[in-house]
Amino acid sequence: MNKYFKVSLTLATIASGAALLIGLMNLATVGAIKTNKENKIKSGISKLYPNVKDYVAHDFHTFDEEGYDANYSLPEYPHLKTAYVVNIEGGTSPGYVYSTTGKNAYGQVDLLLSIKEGKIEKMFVVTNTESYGPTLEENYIDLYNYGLLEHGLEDVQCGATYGAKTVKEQCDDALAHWNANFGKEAE
Amino acid sequence: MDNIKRGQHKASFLNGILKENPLLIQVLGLCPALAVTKSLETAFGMGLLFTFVLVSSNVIVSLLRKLIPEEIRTPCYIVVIATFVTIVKMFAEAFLPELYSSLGVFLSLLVVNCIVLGRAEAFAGQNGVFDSFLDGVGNGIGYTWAISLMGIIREVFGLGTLTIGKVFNFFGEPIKLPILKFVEVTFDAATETYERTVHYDFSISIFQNPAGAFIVLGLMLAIMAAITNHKKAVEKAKEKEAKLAAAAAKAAEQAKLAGGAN
Amino acid sequence: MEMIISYILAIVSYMLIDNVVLSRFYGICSFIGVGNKVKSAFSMGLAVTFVIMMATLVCYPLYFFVLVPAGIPFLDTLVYILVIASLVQIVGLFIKKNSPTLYKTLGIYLPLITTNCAVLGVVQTNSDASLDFLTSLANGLGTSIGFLVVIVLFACMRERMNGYNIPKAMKGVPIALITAALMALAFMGFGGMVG
Repeated sequence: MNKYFKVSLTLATIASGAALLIGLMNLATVGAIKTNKENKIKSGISKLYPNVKDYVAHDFHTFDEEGYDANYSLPEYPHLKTAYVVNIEGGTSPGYVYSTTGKNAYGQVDLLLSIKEGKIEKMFVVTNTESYGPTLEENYIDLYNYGLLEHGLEDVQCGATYGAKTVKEQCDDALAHWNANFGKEAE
Repeated sequence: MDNIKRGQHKASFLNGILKENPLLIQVLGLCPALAVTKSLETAFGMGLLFTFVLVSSNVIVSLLRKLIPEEIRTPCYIVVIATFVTIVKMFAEAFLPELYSSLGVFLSLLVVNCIVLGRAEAFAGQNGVFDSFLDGVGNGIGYTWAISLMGIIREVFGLGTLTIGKVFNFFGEPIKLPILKFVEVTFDAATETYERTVHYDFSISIFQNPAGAFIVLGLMLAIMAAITNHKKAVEKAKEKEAKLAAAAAKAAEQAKLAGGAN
Repeated sequence: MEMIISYILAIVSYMLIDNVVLSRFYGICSFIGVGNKVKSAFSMGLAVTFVIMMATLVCYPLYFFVLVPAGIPFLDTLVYILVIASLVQIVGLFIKKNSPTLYKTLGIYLPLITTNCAVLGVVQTNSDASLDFLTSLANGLGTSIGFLVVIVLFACMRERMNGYNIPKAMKGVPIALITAALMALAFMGFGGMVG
C-alpha cells in the first residue's frame, strides 16, 4: 500500500509540476503568438498594397453575425478564410485582399490574394508546407507576381502541378466571392 | 582523482560529437533527420531546439534520478521530456514562427525521439548533473552538425541555391546564394515588365523529395561506416605490425644470446 | 454515398500517396529496426494498427471534449503521450491474460510502440488540423494500413537481400535506407491518384 502511494504521489507531483510549467510558458507566449499572426497578415497586405493606410477584416466565420452578407454561406467558398477591405493612402477606391487556405496530398498552402478589376493582381505566401513548396513559389507564384506566367493561372508546367492546382482553386474561390459581393459594389 | 574526473567530463562531452555521434554512428533519431532536412536553416533550427530539449531533460532526469521509484521510471522521463517539448514548441511559435510552421508536427514528435529518451535512460539516469549536462550538449552538437550537413546537401543539390535568413529572419531580407542555379529577374522601367533569365541550372529536384532524403542519409551512413571500418583496419594492421616487430626483436635477441653463447 | 466515397478516398490517400513511412517519415526506427523477418514485420504492423486505432478513439474525445472546453489545449502533447503509454500497458496486460497466443506474436512489440512516432504523429496531426471524428479515424486507419503494407514489403525485400554481396560499408542500415529510397520513388507514382 505504502509503495503504491509513493509511486502515485511521485507521478502526480511530476505531472502537476509539468502542467504548471507549461501553463506559465503559455501565459508568457500567448500574446506573442497572437501578434505574430497579425504581423504576418499586416506585412503581407503591405507587400500587396505598399501604400496601405488601414484595413477592415471580415472574418468568414462571423460574416452572418455581422450582417455583412446575409446570402453568404461558407460551403460555397471552402478555401476562403478572411476578406480584408484595404484603404489606400491617396486612393479613391479601396483594395481587396483575401486570406485563403488550401490543402493537397503534399501539404498546405495559405495565401493572401489581392484582387483588382476582377483579376488576381498579386499573391503573397503566408504558410507553405507543401513538399514541392519552393518549386511552387519560384516557378508559379513568383512568376505570376512578375506577370510572366504565359497562360495566367492555367499554367501546369511549373513542376508543382498539384500545388498550382491548389493555388488556382483558392484564386477561383476568391474571384467568385469578389464578383458576387465587392465587384457589384465597385460598379 | 581530479584528473580522472576531468577526463570523464571531457569524455561525456566529446563522445556525442563524433565518436558516438547519435545519428551517424548510433543511427538514432532518423525520423527528424529525414523529415526536416529540406533546407539548411530548418535543419539547423531543429538541431538547436533538439539540443535544448536534450540538455534540459538530461539535467532534470539526473536531478530526479534518486527520487523516482524504479517502476515508473520511463513514464516519469516521458513526462519530463514532453514538458520541455511543449515549452520549446510554444517558444518557437512565439519567436520563430517560420521555423515552427516548417517543422510542423516533428516538433511534437521530439517527445518520442529515441535519442532524448535513450540518453535519459542510458546516461542521465545513472550519472551526475554536470556530466549529464555535458552529455546533452555534446550529443546535441553532434546531432545538429549531422543534420545541418544533410540540410546543406539536400538544399544545394535539390534547389541549386542556399537561402540564409528566411527562417531566422531577424536581419531583414533573406539572402539567396546561387550555387548550382542562377536565375535573375530584372525590371524594365520603360515597358513596366519583368524579365527572367536563367543563367545556369544544375539542380536535381529528387534531392528535395523523400527519396532524396533516404539516399543522402544512406550514403552519409555508408561513408561514416567506411571511415570507421578503415580506422579499425588500420589499428588492426598496426597491432599486427607491432606484434611482428616484437617477435622479430625477440628472435634477434635470442639469436644474439645464442651468438654470445657461441 | 458521396460521403462514404470521400472517406474511402481519404483512407487511400493516407495509405498510399502520403504514406506514413515513405513520405511522412513516421516510425522509421521500427521500420528499419524490425529487420528482415516477414513474420515479425507483420506482427509489428498489426500491433501498430491496433494501438493507432485505440489512440485515435481515445484521444479525439479527450481533446475536443475535455482539453478544449477546459481551456488547456496546449497540454495536448503531454496528455497524448501519457494516454498512449498507458494504453500500450493496458492492452499488453489484457492480451496477456486473454490470449497467450496473440501475446506471443504481438507481446514483445508492444512496449516499442510507445516510442513509435506513427502513433503520436497521427493523433497530433488530427488535433493540429482539427479533423472531424470520421476523418480522424480514416487518417488512423489509412496510416496504419500504409505502415503495415510498407513494413511487410520492406521485410520481404530485405529477406531476399540476405545472400547478396553488398559492399562492407553499405551493410545494415545504409543499404536499407537506399532500398527505402527506391520504394519511395515507386510510391511517388501514386501521387495525384486522388484529386
